[in-house]
Amino acid sequence: MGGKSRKSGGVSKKLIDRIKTGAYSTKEKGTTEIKTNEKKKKRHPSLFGLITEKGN
Amino acid sequence: MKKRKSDILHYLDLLQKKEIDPNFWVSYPYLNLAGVECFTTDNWTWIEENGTVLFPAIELNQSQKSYPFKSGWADFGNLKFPEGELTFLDYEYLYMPSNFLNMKGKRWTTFRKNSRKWPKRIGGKYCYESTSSNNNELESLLISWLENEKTGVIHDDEVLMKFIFESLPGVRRKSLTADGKLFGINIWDENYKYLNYRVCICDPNEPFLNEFCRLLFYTDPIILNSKKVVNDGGVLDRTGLEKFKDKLNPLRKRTVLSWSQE
Repeated sequence: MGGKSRKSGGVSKKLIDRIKTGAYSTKEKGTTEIKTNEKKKKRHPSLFGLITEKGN
Repeated sequence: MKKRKSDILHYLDLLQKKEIDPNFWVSYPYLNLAGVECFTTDNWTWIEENGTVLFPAIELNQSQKSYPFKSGWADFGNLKFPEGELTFLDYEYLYMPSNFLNMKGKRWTTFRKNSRKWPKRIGGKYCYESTSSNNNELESLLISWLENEKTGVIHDDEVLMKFIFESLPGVRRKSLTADGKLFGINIWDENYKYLNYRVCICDPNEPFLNEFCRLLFYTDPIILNSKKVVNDGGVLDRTGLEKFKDKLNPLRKRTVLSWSQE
């Protein structure tokens, strides 16, 4: 992230510990379900939980 | 001065109406994830975080009232704080995506050469798309990236984690994979004027992958078709990052200032 903190930044080691203990795993994540659109084309779920792609 | 809570969108609308040049922190997703608040009086509207006014307050009418605050965290390109003590906060880099299509000329030599090394090394077989495999891979990539952070300090870490792990309308992401492995992610959002390049995280063990991830971002048809200039934020007091961003030939490198009258 290219923006400065307004308070002291996080310590990377602590962040790693939080990730390893699953602190962020409880957040809403992408489903493993394969979705189909109206044309019945299969779309794999987004890694981040939202399919926001409009197409190029 | 009796203040009442207002919607962040109210502040953002005013910026657009008054054609105020927003800084890197100004977008609906960012301000929401940061948990800041918008307040208004009869004459002013502003953004506040735990009692600190973040950006220049916007005057609602021509009341000629004196500025109601004594400090502010980050100014805008064309809206400054009143006179007082100004201190350097960071730079802010603006890039024109279409400039990354050709990269012609001597000033592009370094980035042009470096950005082509990673795909060449892996034989050009990679995938850059908005879908990917699973969150375990994302966590592994992030841990690897954090382990290689030389300063050990991650700016705005709470918001960064939210951008990476939470879903929010208006936040877009693409991932770079090769041979089924996740190598990098790009995350961005936007305000009325700019695309804000929020996150570029890539495998630190892969030389020149950072350059390639950025090239993918800027030459993505979604980015190019938006016709918007990209705000890539600042350098976080890191000389290496400043040199790196300078080599990408910014359209503008603005100095962002904090202000205090106290």
